Amino acid sequence: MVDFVQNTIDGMMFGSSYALLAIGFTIIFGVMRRINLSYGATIMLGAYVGTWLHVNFQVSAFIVALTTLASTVIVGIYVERLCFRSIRRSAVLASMVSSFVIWMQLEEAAVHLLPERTYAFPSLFIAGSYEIGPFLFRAEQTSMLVLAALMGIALHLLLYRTRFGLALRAVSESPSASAYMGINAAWISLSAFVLVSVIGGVAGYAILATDEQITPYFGLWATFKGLIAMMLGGMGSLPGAILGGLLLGIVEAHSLWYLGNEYKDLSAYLLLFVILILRPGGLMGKNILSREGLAFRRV
Amino acid sequence: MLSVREVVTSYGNVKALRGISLDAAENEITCLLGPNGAGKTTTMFTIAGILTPQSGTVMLDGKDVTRLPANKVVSKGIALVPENRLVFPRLNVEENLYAGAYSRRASAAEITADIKDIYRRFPPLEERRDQLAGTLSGGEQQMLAIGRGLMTRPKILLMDEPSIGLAPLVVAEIFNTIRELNEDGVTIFLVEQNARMALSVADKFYLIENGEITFSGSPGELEEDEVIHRAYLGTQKE
Repeated sequence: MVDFVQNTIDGMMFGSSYALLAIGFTIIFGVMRRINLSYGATIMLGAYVGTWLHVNFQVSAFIVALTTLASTVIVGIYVERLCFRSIRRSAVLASMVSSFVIWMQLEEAAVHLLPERTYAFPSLFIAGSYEIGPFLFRAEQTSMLVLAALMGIALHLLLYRTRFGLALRAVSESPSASAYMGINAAWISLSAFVLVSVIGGVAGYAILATDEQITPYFGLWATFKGLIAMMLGGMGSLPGAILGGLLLGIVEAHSLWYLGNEYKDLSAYLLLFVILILRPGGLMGKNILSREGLAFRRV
Repeated sequence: MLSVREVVTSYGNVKALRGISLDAAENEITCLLGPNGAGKTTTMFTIAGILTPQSGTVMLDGKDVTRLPANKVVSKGIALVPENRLVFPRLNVEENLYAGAYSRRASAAEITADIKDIYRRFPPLEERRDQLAGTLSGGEQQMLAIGRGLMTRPKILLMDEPSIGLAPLVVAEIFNTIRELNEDGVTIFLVEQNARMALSVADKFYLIENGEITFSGSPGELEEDEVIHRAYLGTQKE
């Protein structure tokens, strides 16, 4: 029982960063109705720029964190310009394929920047652990959870309490009706990319700082985790992204403990498989389906 | 107020509007009637900046708005209540109204006061202010779409087929609303399939057939039956 609770706690902590990645994917999907496959690679390259500064100029961990965030935003804007702005909205596949190509390009750029396989990633978090009752908490993971929770609250306030948030939600509902209200959809999409880059930069930083190392495969890893968590929760749903992220983290933690490391990823895919069969739209995804239904019924 | 001159709009090689000119005077209801595919919605979209005409001009109060994108046209004072309403289904009623005020540089108090006005005009919306717009009935959604359009504080309200898909009683109610809005000083440019209803509120109307204006005048200048005939079927060539 203690093990079970301990695993659940660990899983939630790591799952919180999956949730942030999934939020990043889901916001872009919501606003653009297209999937940004290069999201993970964007974060990876951002973190690589930070690491590069650290390796070559021994800058402090704080500067690495800031650089990671800033360069993730810049790469995010680059992706938006190339794969989304210049491609019309209905060409869903064109955006997806070009974002895949840009993923490869970004990975290549990272390898050219720092050619070795693995680099140490400097952490701002305080390492160590503490105990509450029979349970053990790692300080880095706690920082990750707190950071993710703060991001979640900030994001909620931004989306539901500000004029920008209203415009962003309006564009994801109906870009044409938004234009009739004077909302500039192109500007909102760019802002959405900046927003998810900030979220991704923070999530990526938290994960890498907890691992204390970075490889070019981080992009692939982040894309997998984010996409799986998003699909578990339901594409385009924010609460779904959070739920999917936490669930993925918890299932991984349990399978790691009870089944061993080789089953960790396998059980994640199995979970996705089962959920998609039981609820094809994802856990909270029913809204997406019923929304289309509603729209058609009212027309 | 609104004047459209010699506007030509095409979809690819197909000319949808072949040089149409029309005017909408302040405080009046101007209607554009015509059969399906005659170019009614195209006219609306061209005025609202959703489509850019190949030639011709659209002027509002003497200012050229021809080539402005839709999101800029709104702030010049042209609001579109689109066909099929297009409310934001997963935003609640009040958020839909706030979205209407997006383009305005107004204080929060001013916007809240305007929302109160909308609620006064459409009491069902106030009752459902926290409800998602997608769960409203068709008539309520039409009220919301009109309210959202009014929230932009337009000089002229363009309404594209407000009666479409609504029950006859609801249609009558919507046309009452249109009349009331007009009495309160709102200038309206209305595109309608329902010619009889449109004629009952119009100060002036145009007939559009095959992308050309074929008649303009006041209701009564043309036999109602003929208007209806031409609005549904177009002029029959013998």
